[in-house]
Amino acid sequence: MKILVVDDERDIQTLFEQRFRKEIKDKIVEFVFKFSGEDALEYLNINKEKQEAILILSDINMPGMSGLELLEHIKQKYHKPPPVVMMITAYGDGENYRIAQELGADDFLTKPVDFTLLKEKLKIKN
Amino acid sequence: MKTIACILYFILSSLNVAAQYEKIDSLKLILQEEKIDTAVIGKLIQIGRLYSNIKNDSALIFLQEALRLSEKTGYKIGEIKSRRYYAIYLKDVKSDYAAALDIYLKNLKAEEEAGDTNNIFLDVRDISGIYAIIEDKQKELEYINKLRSLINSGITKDSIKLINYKLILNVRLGLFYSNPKMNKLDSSKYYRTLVYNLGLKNKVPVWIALGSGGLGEVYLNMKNADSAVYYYHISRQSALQINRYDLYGESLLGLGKAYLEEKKTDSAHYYGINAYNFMEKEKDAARMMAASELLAQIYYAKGQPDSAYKFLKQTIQVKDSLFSSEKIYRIQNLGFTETLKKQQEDQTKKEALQEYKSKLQIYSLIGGLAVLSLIISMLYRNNRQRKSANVKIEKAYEDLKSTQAQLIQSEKMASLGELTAGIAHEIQNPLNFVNNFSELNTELLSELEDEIEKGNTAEMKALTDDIKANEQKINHHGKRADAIVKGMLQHSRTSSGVKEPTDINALADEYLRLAYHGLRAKDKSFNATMKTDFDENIGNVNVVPQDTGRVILNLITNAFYAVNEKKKQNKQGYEPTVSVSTKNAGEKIEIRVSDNGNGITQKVVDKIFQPFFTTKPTGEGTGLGLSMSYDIIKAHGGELRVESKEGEGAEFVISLPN
Repeated sequence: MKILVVDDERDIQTLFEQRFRKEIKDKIVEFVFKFSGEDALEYLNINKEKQEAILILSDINMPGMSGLELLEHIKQKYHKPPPVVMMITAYGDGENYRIAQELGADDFLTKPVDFTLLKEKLKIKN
Repeated sequence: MKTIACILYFILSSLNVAAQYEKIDSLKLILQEEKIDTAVIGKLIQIGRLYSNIKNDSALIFLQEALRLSEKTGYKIGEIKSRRYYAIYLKDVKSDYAAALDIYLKNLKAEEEAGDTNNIFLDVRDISGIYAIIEDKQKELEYINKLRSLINSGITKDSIKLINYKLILNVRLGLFYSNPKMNKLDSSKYYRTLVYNLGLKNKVPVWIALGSGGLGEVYLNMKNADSAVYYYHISRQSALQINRYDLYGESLLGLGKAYLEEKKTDSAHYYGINAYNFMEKEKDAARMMAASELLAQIYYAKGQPDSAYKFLKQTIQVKDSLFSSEKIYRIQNLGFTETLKKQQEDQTKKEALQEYKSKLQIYSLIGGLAVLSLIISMLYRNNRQRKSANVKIEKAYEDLKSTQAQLIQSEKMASLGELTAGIAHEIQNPLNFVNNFSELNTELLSELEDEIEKGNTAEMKALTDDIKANEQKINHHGKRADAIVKGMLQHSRTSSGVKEPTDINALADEYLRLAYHGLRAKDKSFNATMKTDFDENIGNVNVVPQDTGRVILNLITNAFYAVNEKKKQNKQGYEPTVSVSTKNAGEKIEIRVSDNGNGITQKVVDKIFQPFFTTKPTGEGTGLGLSMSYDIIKAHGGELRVESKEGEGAEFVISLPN
């Protein structure tokens, strides 16, 4: 399974790669990292034709295009079927949660990311 | 030249009260028949003016009705006119200079927006007149200079009007220089001679009356009583001819003074009494006070201390009512908001009071022994009143100062509030990393133990490398959180006021991020692109870091606010962008904060650094941010300025000595 992680914090890449190092080694998951909403969208557009199953994990608070805007693009303008999108919201941020839900987010994670929980969710999605 | 006289006639008031009432009654009849709004407004204003001329409070009702109707129907000329005559009523009838000034300034603004130069000129004239009455020489001159520049800017092509305007300017200059505070009698004489000669040449009685009356005053002050009497007589006759009660009364007063100077006490008494009775009939409190003061002097000269005392007491009573502490306070307050020079005005007021006090002391001497005890008790009473008035003024000023201090504190707290939300978000991320990487390292270490047991050196090496890298990440993010907390503490702490070498780039970067996340926390939909361009050669600059940080934060917050406002207008393809750059320009360094918002109009630019000025809706801004920023940068020996193109954005530039 391919997971596209979108976050403006670059260290998120190291973190994910280490947290999932076994899964990556065993080729259960494959990660792509993008550090802005714009870059993520560009990546999706380039790889439109590949028809690969993809899961997007996106932060909300990012400079430039926010996670919510990215979500809106993916869910409303992207080719069908739209990929599964999981949004990462800050703790206690009810309003973003509600907006993301309206925009069609499939699932949510709360910061700080609980990796055990994330792994569980991914297995369910598998 | 008859036309000039006709044009001038409309500003004249009539001596004949009965005739005025007749005119009012006939106007009221016409008013009932009027159907068109603008005509009704015109008649209402006319009636209001006539009532105002004869000092009848009914003026208020008619002018207010005219204003209400003008506003309702959007009739701008009517609005401006009814406000003007309302202000004249307040000024001439009620002696309420603060309220009149307030209206004039409002009117001026409306006229400036409408480009109505004719009315601007008349209002500027009246404003300079008010400042002349309350003896604010600086303001008076400022408005006189405005008259001059209006004339020089080619205010009118109508040559008759232009002569009239120049004449008004000369009249005001004559008055300005004759004031005891200026005491430039030669200059005053020059301008008044211009007016007088122009009057003689064109046979315009009002100019003759104005010019000769002014010259009478100048000669009186030059102790040339003979010439003063000559010119005052001319003024009196001309004023009578055109029903200018104010000039007529003024000349009567002048004659009284001049004859007293010549020691012709009987003639002085004749004109003094005449002046007093006339002012009483005209309900002109200010001139009545002057007349009773004159009479007191005359009676003393005639050796009648009882009558002298009577009029002296009268003078003080009128003076108290005219310059009550409440009125003085309101004028000062108005001055404060308009120019923030209240302190200075306080000083001049105190000087005026001092001057008045010494005058009174002279009177008490001339009152003679017979009335000495009475006068002393009166002085005491007056003194006490004045003291209490002074205490009131000072108390009000103290209140104002403490309110201001509170507001400054609340501005600090408001910006701190903006920060805390940003800090909460900013601190969350590094802390998450610290926790995550430390957990990871625990895992990796137990794996490492396994590998050691297995003796797999290659894997051991890979694991230790990871652990080392993670350790560095923990350290990095820990420091990041640390810096943020320190920044917050620095902001909330009272400024040390001590300059220290500060990394300007780091400071700017830190506050940029804090401001961004602060706004983000308040408004979820807020978004903007941040651009930075830091000059690496800037090094450390000697500043008070807390204060400078506050300025940078303030400018950045404003910039974000501006782009957000523009974004709300949903313009196609608009990308809200805020840029911060630094530059080492040799002798000084520059920090620029720019945005691509809606920009700032010139009108706003002019006031932008004034305290309490804000364009934000009520409750959103204290109006102190930029004024505080300005003061801080000034205190650093630097400069804060703004460059803006309407519709394209604004750029604030801080320059500091390197």
